[in-house]
Amino acid sequence: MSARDARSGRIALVPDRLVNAHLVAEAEPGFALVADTLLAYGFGWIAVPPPELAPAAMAIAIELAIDQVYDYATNGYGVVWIRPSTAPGDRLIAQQVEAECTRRALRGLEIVDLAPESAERFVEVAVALRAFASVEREGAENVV
Amino acid sequence: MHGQHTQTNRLPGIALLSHCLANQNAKVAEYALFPGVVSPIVDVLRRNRYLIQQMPCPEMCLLGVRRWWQVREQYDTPGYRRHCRVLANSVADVLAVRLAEGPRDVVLIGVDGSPSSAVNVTGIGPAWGGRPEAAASAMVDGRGVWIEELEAVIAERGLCAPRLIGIPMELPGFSLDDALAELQRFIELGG
Repeated sequence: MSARDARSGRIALVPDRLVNAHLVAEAEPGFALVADTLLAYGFGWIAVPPPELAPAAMAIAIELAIDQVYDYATNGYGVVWIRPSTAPGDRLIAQQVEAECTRRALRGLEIVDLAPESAERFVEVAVALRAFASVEREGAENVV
Repeated sequence: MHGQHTQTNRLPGIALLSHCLANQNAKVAEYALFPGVVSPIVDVLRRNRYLIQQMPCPEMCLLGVRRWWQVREQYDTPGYRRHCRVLANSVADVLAVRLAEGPRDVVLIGVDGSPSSAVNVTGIGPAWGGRPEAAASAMVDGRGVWIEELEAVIAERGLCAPRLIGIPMELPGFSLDDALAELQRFIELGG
């Protein structure tokens, strides 16, 4: 990595509720724990839109997101998908992300499930993200 | 979060956030100043309880993470503008859903110095086209190509026009402290 470049080489595909954890943290404090872990360990975000989005618009947004994931993954960056799966909209998002990854034969996308959403699970997710962050990534090293 | 806010507990604002302010891995080589999220910028939005909508990076989506440095002239092409409009419509789709929350304010946070995401000052170089050190470039007043197309699509769709601010992370002499103070003042103007 260039001395002038501080990138981590770590990216997380994150659900909207994590991007906006500050707005849901009172009801679900575990989201703040996971969001703060992402910040503390230098993950960049690729935000997945909220599940309220119409299916056609969601399909385009996810296609754009997975375009980026594919490029990072094939250039030595580490990408982790923080997968929500509680609401019906979340399940549709998960199906579309999986379909886009399959279409591109994308391998190497690590998955951390938020469900079942509980205090214990959020701690486990934070631990998993710390472990992911401890791995050296070629992507950051290849920046010249 | 949809529908969570009542009239008495109204959402203060929505921030359309340039992609790289939440993911410095998307920057061209040597321009990443933070490992991932530019957390001081995001912290201002969190403290002010703004809903964050990270936008896609049109440069990254088109040319990928190994792209070279570019100037505005290289992006000011019909094809790149068409690409920007696809992304801008995706941003507008999400914004339209968010506006149902009845925010008091909508802001767009760009990156000054960028050929694509600038709000106030953008990078030009009429002779620039090959190796980055082979020709001079300069900064001039003006929007980046992406921000121009995004504003146009939001206006065409009749959505609430955002107030705009650029974080000067790609300008010489960038001061994070000054930028944070300016962002806080800007946010307070919308209250």
